[in-house]
Amino acid sequence: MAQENHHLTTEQLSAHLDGQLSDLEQSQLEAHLKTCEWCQQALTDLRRTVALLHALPRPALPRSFVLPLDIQPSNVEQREDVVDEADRVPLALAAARARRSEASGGELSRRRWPGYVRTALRTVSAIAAVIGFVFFLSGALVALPHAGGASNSAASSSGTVNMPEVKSNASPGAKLATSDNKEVTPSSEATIIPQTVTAAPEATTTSGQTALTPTAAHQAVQTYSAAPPTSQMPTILFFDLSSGPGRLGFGFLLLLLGVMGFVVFKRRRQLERA
Amino acid sequence: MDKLARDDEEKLIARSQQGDVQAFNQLVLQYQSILFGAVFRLLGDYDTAADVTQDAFLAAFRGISTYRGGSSFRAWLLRIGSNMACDHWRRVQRHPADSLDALTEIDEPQSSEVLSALATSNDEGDPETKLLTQELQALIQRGIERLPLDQRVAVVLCDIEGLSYEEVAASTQTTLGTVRSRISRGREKLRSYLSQYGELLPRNYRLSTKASDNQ
Repeated sequence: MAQENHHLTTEQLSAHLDGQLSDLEQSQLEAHLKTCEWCQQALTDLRRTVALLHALPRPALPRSFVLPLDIQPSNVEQREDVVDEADRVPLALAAARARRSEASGGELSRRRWPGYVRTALRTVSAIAAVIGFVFFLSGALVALPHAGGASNSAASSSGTVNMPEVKSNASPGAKLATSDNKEVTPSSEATIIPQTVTAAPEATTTSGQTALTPTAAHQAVQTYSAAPPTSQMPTILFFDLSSGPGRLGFGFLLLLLGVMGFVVFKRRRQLERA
Repeated sequence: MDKLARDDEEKLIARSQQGDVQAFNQLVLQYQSILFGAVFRLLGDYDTAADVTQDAFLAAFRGISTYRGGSSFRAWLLRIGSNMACDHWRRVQRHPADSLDALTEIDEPQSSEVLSALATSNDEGDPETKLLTQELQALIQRGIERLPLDQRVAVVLCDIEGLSYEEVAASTQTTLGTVRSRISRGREKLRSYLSQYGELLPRNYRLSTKASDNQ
C-alpha cells in the first residue's frame, strides 16, 4: 500500500479528529494508522493538544456588557462592513458610557432623556440665570441712584471696556431717541442695547469733535429703536421692565429659575454617574 | 447553554433590527460570555478584552441590520469580535507573525507524556494542581498568542469556543478547506510549542505531585 510509505499529514489527522474527512480519506487513514506507530503517536499528541485547549476554563466576566438604553441605532441603512464602520466611530467613548451605566447597577430605566437633551437644558438654565442676573443687577442699580452717586458705580461695575465713552456718548442719543418714553439710565441702556455700545466708540474714534458723536449715536439708537417702535421695555409676567423694581423682580425670578434648572440637571447627571 | 429557543432568538434579532436596545441586551446577556471568552483568548489581556468586547457589542448593535440570518448569530457576533480583536492586535503589534515557524522544526513525538500530564492535570482539585493549572493556562495562552492571527482565530473558535467548521468558515469568511488547514497548522504549532516547554514543565509537575503524595 502506498500509504504505508509516507506518513499522514497533520491536516489529515486534525480533520480526522473533527470528523471532517471524506469516507475514502477516512478509510485510508484508518488503514494507515493500524500499521504505523509514528502516526498513532502523532494523532495522540494532537488529540491531547486539543484536549488541553478544551480544558481551558472560560474566563470570568469582568462585568455585564449590556448596552445603555439611550444608545443610538444610528446607521440603519449601513452597508456590509460592520467592523470597519465601527472602528471609525469613537467607540471608546460609548464604551465608557456603557461602563458607567453598568456601574449604576444596571437600572437602565432611569435614563429617559438622552445626554444632549440634558446638556441643552442645563445650558439654557445657565443662560437664563445669567440674563436674570443682568436684569437683577440693572434693576438694583436703578434703585440705587436715590442713594446717591450711582451712575458712576453703575458704569464701572457693568464691566464693559468702553463704558465711559459709551455712557457719555450714548446717553444723549438714547435720551433723544427715547425722549417720548420714560427715562432710561445710561447703564441699563448700554447693557441692554448692544448696538449702541458698538456704534458709539466707532463714532468717537472716527471724529475727535464732540459735536458729531451725539448724532452718530443718535442714528445708531434710532436704527435700533426702529425695530420695536413704541416701547422698548415690554411688560413680562406682571413685571414692568421699564421700572427699576420690575426689572429687579423679573431678574430675580429668572435668576432663581435658571439656578434651579442648572442644579436639577446637574444633579441628574451626577446621579447617573454614581 | 442555549437558554433561548431558536425562534425566540430570531424575534429578539428582529426587534433589535428595529432599534430595540432592550431586545438586543437580551442577546448580549446570552452571548457575552462566549464573545468575551473568545476575545480574551485571542488577546490574552483581561482589560483589553473587556473593552474590545464592549466595542464589538456596540458595533453589532449598530450593524445588526446587516445580519441576514444566513449563518448562526453566534458566528456573526464572533466574526465582529474576532475582527476587532485582530485589528487591535495588529495595532499593538506585539509579536511578529512568524515567531512560531522556527519551533515547528522540532518535531519529536517524545513529548507525549508531557502532553498527557498536562491534559489530566486539570482533574484534581487540590491547591497544588490548581496552581499548576494556572501555570499551564498561562503557558497555553502564550502558545495561542504566538500563533499567526488567522490560525489563532480558527483554533480559538473551533477548539475553545466549540464552533463547527462551517461556523468558523462563516465567522472568518473563508472556505471550509481554508478553515481545515488553518486549524491543523495552528494545532500543530501549539503541540510543538507545548512540547518545547515539556522539559521545563514535568519537573514542576513532579514537584507538585510529590507534595500532594506526602500529605
